Amino acid sequence: MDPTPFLNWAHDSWLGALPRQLGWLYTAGLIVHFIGLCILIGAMLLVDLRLLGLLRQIKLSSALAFLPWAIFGFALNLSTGLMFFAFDPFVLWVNPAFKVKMALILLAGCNVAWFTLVEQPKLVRSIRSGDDVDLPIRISAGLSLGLWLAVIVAGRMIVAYR
Amino acid sequence: MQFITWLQGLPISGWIADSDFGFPLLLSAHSIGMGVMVGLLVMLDIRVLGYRKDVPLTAFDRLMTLVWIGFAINTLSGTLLFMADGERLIVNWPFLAKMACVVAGGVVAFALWKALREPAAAGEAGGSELIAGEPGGWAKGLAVLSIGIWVLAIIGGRLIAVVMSAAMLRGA
Repeated sequence: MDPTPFLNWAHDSWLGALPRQLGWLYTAGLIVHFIGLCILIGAMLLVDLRLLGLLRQIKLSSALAFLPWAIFGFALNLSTGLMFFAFDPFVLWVNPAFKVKMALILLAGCNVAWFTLVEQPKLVRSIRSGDDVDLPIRISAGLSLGLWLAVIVAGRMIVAYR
Repeated sequence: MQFITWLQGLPISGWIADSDFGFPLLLSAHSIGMGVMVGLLVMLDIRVLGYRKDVPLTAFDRLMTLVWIGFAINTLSGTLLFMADGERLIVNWPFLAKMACVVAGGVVAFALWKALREPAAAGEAGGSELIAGEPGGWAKGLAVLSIGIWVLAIIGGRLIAVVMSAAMLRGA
């Protein structure tokens, strides 16, 4: 399938036009992207390390209460990321590091969806302070940490292929 | 200045500057270290400010080890990045502002960590314990300050490249 119509549409959308008109907006977006990164990683560390069985002083339910912060960080990065893409879609589309980054985010997203839809409801029903969680959940938590750190590396590699 | 020129002339600095992946890999490590260190410190800040009082402050005792690991990653990667590009960085005002913010952020983190501890009761052996109750106004003020300083540090970091390319365009 030819991506050109889609790339043209993204390029000509208001989200792409805005940072081209206001030069500072792209830089401001990058600043927000890095703030979002810190919030996402900090909150994911709390949640994932607890699920992996470390930090047992924290009740499972309190650790999971930091998930909204991770989602907030991701929302900041998704919105600024869409703007970066619309700013320069033709260059990013063929950038191998960008492709890898998008694939990793998709995998990390599936992992989160599987955890929140399938595993978390079971978890909440049997929550007790200091409990260990089942192996599938621990695998999911480990994957989550690995995938988000890999997303950072892939993101930084984008410039290497420019 | 001579020292910086000497640093930049070292073989390792040249390798970082000339290789395709030297800078991106070091910047990757630098971003991961930032996410771990700043991310966890900001989580501590929002906990101190009252988010989820059922999370015991003592849980952050173990997380501080990770904060130190993040700091170590960034000191090492930051030093290497500076070695490869020192002559341009030392005259780059966002870089200097960022360094000041990192130092200030560290001092505030120490002060906050100290404010969350109470001296060991008389007769008890050594050390101090994390407070059992909720942090007071002083600690909360430090938490707000901490968030503000890290945001400024990130702004400084992002502006380094902007100011650098502006200087290149002027032919400096």
